[in-house]
Amino acid sequence: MDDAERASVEERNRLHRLREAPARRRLEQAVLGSDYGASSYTTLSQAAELATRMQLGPGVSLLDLGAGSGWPGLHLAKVTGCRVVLADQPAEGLRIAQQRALEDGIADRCGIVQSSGDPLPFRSEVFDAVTHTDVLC
Amino acid sequence: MAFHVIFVASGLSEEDAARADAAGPPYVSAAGSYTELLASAGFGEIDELDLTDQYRLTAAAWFRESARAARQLEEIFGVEEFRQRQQEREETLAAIEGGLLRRWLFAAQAT
Repeated sequence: MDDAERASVEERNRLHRLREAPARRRLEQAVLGSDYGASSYTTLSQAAELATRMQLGPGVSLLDLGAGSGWPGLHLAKVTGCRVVLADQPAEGLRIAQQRALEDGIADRCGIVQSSGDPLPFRSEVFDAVTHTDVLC
Repeated sequence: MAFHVIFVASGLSEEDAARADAAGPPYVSAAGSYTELLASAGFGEIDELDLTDQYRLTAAAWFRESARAARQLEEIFGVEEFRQRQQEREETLAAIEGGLLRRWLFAAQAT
């Protein structure tokens, strides 16, 4: 990781911490319909569309790349019953996601991996479905 | 695989492309179309859905709802950072409304 990338990860860590504030969560709820500390443009209905497109359900294994603090990967696991692995670089987002998985009672179906998307630290054909939201832009 | 992606509209002037780059997310732009990228990576049954209008509505909602909660958000982020963020949201919204930025859903199957 070079200095610029390290600085970017640190900045995202800082923002993840700030987005835990209740007022910021209320803002997210008003805009996206979620409360995971997200800053994306993926709304609740668009997350449902992802679930339909990927045919998520119990027994399906999902990889969420650039997962941030869990939106929409954790939500998809919660509402569909699928397993999910969240992968991202900032540790703060993943810490928040891990806590949320415990609170939502889905920690046994949720894996957390601190990693950049390139290269991915997974064997081939491990996942049934892959998603990312506004990561490759 | 299913994912959302924001990208700079094609066929823009150099000036508009630079404006789109500045107003879009702080990530590198992919070279070439996502359909072609997916196909070259071995994906088939590629489906695309243009979500740009919903992107515009969501960007407008981020700006409007943030303005409504300005005092609380200034306490969280600081006055200067909040104002900077709102300015960026306005620029993003203007770029979407001007046809410079697009957001699509792509879905594809591994073949």
